[in-house]
Amino acid sequence: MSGVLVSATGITHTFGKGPAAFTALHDVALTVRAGELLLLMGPSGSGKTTLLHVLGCLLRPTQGQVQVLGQDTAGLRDAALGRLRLKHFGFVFQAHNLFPMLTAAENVMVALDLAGQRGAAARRRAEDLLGVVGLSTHCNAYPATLSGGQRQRVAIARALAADPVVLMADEPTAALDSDNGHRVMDLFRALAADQRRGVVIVTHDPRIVPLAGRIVRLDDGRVVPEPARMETA
Amino acid sequence: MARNGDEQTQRSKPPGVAPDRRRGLLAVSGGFTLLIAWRNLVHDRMRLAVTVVGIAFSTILMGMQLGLLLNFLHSTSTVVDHAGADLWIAAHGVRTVDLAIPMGERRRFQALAVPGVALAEPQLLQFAMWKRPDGIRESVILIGVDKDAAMGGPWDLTEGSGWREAVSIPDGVIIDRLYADKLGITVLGGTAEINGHRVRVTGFTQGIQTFTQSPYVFTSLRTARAITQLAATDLTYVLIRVAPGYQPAQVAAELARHVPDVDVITSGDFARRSNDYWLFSTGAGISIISSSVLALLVGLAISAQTLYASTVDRLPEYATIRAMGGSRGYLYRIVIKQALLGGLVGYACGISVVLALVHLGGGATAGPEMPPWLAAGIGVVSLAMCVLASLASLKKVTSIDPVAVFR
Ligand SMILES: Nc1ncnc2c1ncn2[C@@H]1O[C@H](COP(=O)(O)OP(=O)(O)OP(=O)(O)O)[C@@H](O)[C@H]1O
Ligand SMILES: [Mg+2]
Repeated sequence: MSGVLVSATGITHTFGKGPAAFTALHDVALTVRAGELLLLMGPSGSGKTTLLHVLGCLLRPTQGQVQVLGQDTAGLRDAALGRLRLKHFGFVFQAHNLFPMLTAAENVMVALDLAGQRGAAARRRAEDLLGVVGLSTHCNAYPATLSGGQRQRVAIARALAADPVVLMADEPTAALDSDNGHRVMDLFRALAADQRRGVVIVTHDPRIVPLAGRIVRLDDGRVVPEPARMETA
Repeated sequence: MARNGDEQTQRSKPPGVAPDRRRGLLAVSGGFTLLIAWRNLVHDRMRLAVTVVGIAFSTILMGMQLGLLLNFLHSTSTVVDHAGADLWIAAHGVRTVDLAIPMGERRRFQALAVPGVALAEPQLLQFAMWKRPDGIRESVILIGVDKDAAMGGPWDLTEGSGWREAVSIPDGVIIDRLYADKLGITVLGGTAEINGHRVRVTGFTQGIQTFTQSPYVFTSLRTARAITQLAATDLTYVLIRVAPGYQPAQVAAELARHVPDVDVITSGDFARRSNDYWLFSTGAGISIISSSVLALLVGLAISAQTLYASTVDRLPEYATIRAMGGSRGYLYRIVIKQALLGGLVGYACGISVVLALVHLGGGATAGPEMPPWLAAGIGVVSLAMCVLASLASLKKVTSIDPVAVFR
């Protein structure tokens, strides 16, 4: 049990109701452990994003259980789920959604403010976090003046602000050239290996595969069984 | 949220991340939402300009209208407000101080017999026709008071040797500087005619405005009676001073019982009655109040519009905050602070213009007034309007689905 950060069992998720209903996940089980970099792969529409949202407590599955650090989440209200996300999860999305009128450091400080850290200390921590992602010289830059890779790294620094135990990223390298993609991936690997966080990445990007500790493939809302995974990996 | 933040800090943060208050306003709790709100506001210059101009416009319009209203309120009751009487006795049914109805002087003697009446002094107030030296006629309101009266005389005399001396001179009258040109007399000693009766200006006051556009002309009771050709015993008002130890309301009730066919009114009620008459039976008040409300609605519409557009622009970022675990309340605070900041900037611009205009128009005969309480009141209303304007945006923020934006 120790080392298990998130465990999901029997996850089925259906969007919509009646004839328009569409089941995107069928009885999926998955655990995220400390120190591992887990890749979620699979064809478009296979349910990767949906699963990531379920694991990150952004989406309540129609069926199944999600436990975060041993705590069952089914009985939690929305506000409590929000606090849970704030406390344990960091999210990086393909659309980084940085505030355009805030500097890189201030964008990180938004997450710190949510976590209750303010003032000069928060500013120092934001600058430290930007240092971690290699942007210490861009603290006062606005998103519009940063490259796509730099913006993605600001988003990663923001995701790390509340010191989450699990970092979740949906296609984080899709918009990046190969240099920037590598920098971002190295960062994710270090976060898992050196800082013992759980890192879950949804990706189509074959460049990432060699870095992965574990790959889970989805097809049509189901986890592809082990042997098939061996063939393709 | 706060509880969670504390836990968070305890769990894993390095030491020294406690809130630092030295950075002033922005460091105190909630300061970061203020920063986001401010940056949102100034981010789009065009939208900022529209917001500020809209709220400033609404403030200016409201300020000028309500300032004018206040001036009207003051001028319609100025004769009552400055008389120094506790009670007024007027012919039954009088609707405003300017439209006086004559009555016999025995009412004054009847009043004097009532316990609690310390002084009962006659005043005569009548519309009359002023003829300038160049022959042009102007309507005036003639007010006659006894030269020894304690109540009801002119005030703020700036030229002439005291109003009692000025009205003691035979056919001496006192007019106001504001209307010197209108009445065609600009220096002491100038002569004119009222109702064909020759008068001499022996004093000038400064700042006694009239609502009716017929300037007040003060004179002695004797001269006033001669001019108006009323009976030597007629008067229009009896001004009462209540003896120490008596309540005005109680004396008023006694007077009403002992003096027939009159209205006994406290100063405050008579002032209000005079205000209400001009404001509501003439429509002046309705038109002023409705244009103020209209100004408010225009400001409301403009600021609601710009705030909504700005909120819609920020939806992906707000959804990210929700996904990260931020509460709806956090987003509400951003939106409301943005509304209030826009309101403050717009109000500051607007009220500056109003104060400048009021200052420039200081000598006008019907310029708006803007005492601090009215300026502050308009500020409160403007800010309340901005909060109201943020409702649509708040609704939009409430409906954010943090998952939908990341598809
Ligand atoms: N809100 C929704 N309503 C209805 N169907 C949805 C909704 N969200 C996702 N789906 C469907 O669920 C399935 C899985 O979607 P999901 O986004 O998880 O796929 P994915 O593996 O992330 O695909 P991609 O690689 O293209 O991002 C898709 O067929 C999608 O159309
Ligand atoms: Mg996806």
